[in-house]
Amino acid sequence: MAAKTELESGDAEVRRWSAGRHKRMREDITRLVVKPLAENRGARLQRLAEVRKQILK
Amino acid sequence: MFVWRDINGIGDLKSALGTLPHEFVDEQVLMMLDERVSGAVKGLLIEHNYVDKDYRSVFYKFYAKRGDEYGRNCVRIHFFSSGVSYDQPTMSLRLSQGENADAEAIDSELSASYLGYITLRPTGKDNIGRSVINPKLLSDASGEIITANHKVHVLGHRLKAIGFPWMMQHVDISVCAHVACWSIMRHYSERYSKYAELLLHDITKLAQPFDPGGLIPSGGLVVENAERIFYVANTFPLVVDREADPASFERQMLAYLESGFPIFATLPDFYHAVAIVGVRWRKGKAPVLDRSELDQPRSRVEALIASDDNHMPYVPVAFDTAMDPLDYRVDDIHSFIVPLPDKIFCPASYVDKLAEIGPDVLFELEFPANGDCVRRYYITTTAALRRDLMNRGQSFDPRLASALMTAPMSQFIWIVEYATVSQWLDDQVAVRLILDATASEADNDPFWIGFDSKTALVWGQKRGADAEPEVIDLKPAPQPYRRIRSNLKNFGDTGSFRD
Repeated sequence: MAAKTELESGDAEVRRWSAGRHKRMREDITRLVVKPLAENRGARLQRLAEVRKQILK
Repeated sequence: MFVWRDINGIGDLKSALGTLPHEFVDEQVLMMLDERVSGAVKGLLIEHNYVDKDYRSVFYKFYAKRGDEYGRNCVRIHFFSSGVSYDQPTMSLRLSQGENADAEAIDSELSASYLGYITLRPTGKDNIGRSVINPKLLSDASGEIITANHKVHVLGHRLKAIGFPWMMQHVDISVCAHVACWSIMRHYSERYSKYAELLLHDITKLAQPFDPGGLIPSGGLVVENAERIFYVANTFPLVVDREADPASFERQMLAYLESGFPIFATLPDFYHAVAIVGVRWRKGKAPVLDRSELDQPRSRVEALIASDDNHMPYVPVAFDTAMDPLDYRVDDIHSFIVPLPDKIFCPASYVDKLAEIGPDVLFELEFPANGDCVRRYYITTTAALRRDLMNRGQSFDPRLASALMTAPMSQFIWIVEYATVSQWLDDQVAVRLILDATASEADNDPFWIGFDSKTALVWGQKRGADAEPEVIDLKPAPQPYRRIRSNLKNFGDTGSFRD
């Protein structure tokens, strides 16, 4: 529970994350999720264009 | 004209329907019904000269123009379990036991014994038209299934049929994909008042940007035609392709299903499309959870439940090996369309990735260890979340309950749940994250609330880019958090995963 040391001081039960901790979380999500999804978008769109032509009857 | 038939044993159903004129019921239809209708049925009410709006829609635009003569009216068959009889002289349905004071109470009692209806079209073959069948009507139909309550007017009564709409394809004026679209949109219009009712011929027309007439629909359609139907019908269809997202494809499919959204599944190798409407969890003597594939639905799901126009509804689609009576598997589903409502901007593909990294970025919460972690994510409404909270308040610390009850949230939310294998088997949850369903794929700040039994992180509404969550130390909950399972209705499953 090392992260608890990054909590800003507050009462014993309700505290806040530090701004730095929150910024790191946002950067991690961007690096691990948002960017890969964005980079993959072109290929996904191309593949979906092919899928849309499949025949069903 | 109404005719009542008692069903007491094998052969009674076939002989009752066998008295109908041949154009309403061919041998194949008789066999299908005879094979799948369960012993729960004790009586049939046969309604002659029934005006079926869906059949009439294609009759006016297609059958009336043909050289052969087709009737305008259908026959509707109502199925009842025990406790109901019919009095021919007064033309009234009766409860076998007890008298009821008012019509509403009688309708409620009758509905408890009502197992749904089928209509029979005078087309000589492929006769079964618009139907709402309670899974209890059919042998071997079990699982958690997406259903709505369909109003049925018969003999002055207003009965309730529980089920998912189904029909056989006409072959000539509608094909499998039309029927799958029709069934999904009819479910939507019955369950949610914001969607208009689309008749079968409306569906065949909507597939194209022009009126396709009577010939083109029989040639089938392509995936983008189905997509067009859904968006003209005021939903927001999302196409998900297996090849584009091979690792998470089935997780995404299960997530939308558990969210209560029926899925239009494509089987291009079979030139076929079906609606996927439910899930049958693993249970019984077979392993209820395959620990080697914990991150995949097939570790805990025995089969998906399909509404396929070539078979009676609620047929199981197994993952690896086709299960009787189907010749296809989940592995054969190449893509699916999920018709989403407005205000869901956050796709399952994004939530899937967030669920994976959640334990790394939210390390104040105690997530189950790798190799012993079952992840589940689905969409629900804030209202449903709060209803669950109201019913299970004893599981929640008052400050967490207050945050969940009062935080301003959008109509739809994504919920991500983490459980150890042992907790999963007991329907429990270790960590729950609540995500903004209106977040976009480019949003790196989608969390609203996350909690385990000791700590809650509460972001609430965003108050600028640098808003940090509150961290609340929770008093140990007197009872464990339970899995929320409100979007699908359970038929025949034990509801317990430890069997």
